[in-house]
Amino acid sequence: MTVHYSYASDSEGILFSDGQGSTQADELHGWHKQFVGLNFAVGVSGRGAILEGLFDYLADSVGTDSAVESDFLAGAIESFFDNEVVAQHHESAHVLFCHASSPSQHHVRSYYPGVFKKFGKPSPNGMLGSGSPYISDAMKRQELLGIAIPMDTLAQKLVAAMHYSGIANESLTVDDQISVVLLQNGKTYLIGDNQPGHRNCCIPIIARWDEIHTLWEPLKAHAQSINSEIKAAYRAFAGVRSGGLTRPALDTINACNSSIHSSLSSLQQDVEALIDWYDNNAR
Amino acid sequence: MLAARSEMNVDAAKVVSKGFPTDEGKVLARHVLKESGNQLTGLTIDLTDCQSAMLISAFFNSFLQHIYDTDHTLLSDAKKTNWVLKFDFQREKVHGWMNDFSPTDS
Repeated sequence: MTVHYSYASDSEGILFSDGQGSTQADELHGWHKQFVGLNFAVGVSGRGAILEGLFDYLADSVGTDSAVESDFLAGAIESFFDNEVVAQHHESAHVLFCHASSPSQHHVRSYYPGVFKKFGKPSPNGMLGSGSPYISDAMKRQELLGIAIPMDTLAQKLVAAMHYSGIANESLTVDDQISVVLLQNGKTYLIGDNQPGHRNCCIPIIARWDEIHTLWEPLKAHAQSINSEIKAAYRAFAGVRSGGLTRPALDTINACNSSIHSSLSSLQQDVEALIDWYDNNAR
Repeated sequence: MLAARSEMNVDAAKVVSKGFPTDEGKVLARHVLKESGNQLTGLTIDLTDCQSAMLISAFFNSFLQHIYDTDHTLLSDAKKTNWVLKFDFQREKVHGWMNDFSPTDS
């Protein structure tokens, strides 16, 4: 039970995942359903046994250390379902990935094996998992209210991912244990709350995970505080619905705006510092 | 000669709950004023166990505004509060909010 949300602009991408693993007997909190390669990040939802099998298959056939083409990755995942999974269980899993074809080309592709034989075409975004309807509904509400979520920079993508993570947490099966993959310049950067499994990403990342987690914590807190500033501004603005917007409310909005502006700038610097550290220490 | 007042330390996590930051800033201010007897010199407030989503401009502005509304003369000491925070970005931001705060007269 999980949620994956992925967004890609030309030069950057993000895959964030929030969830827990469940079996008939128990729940496995913090079980991240991602497979992260050099230039791609796969998110999966569904039956645990299928996901485990897929990760083993990808570790052997694709690997985590080399860049691969989008069609090669899609073909490998499709082959797994065609050759390894009994057809009646195809609908038990869904897959998406965020891929960097080049430093300036990123996209998302989604796959529903129970319905389609192949991955869909590249698109700017995708989501799946039991928490995804909550995000989808929120996006529709935002659109109705004229609220646009900026996604121009990695900092803005991270803030948006945390925003949607909070929404997905309305689902009881999403537990706020977040795993995030940033994509920039054709490479992936895995960060998050829980240590990834040994076959979910390359060895250097696992070896340096304590340091990666230490870098992640302030980024997460910073993104959460920015979202809270945004919420405070919206709350202050709410008086407009009765024509009761006051000077103190306008002052609050102005203070939030100033804080958000400076915070996004410093968060972007921190994200770039993390990427720089990663390139020098975890490749 | 007046005896020096011992410094006051507050664990904010034991005072604030999960309401809106504007409201919780006021709650913290009320607590501090009550416990300190309106003597805010040398005040230390530990926020390390508070959620980062709470520690935003509205929280600190509300805290200072309530102190100002209670007693204008206390604002200067309140702005010198020693805020104990977990992350560098929080320390930088709170420092700015303390310097920039300008009270509103109701």
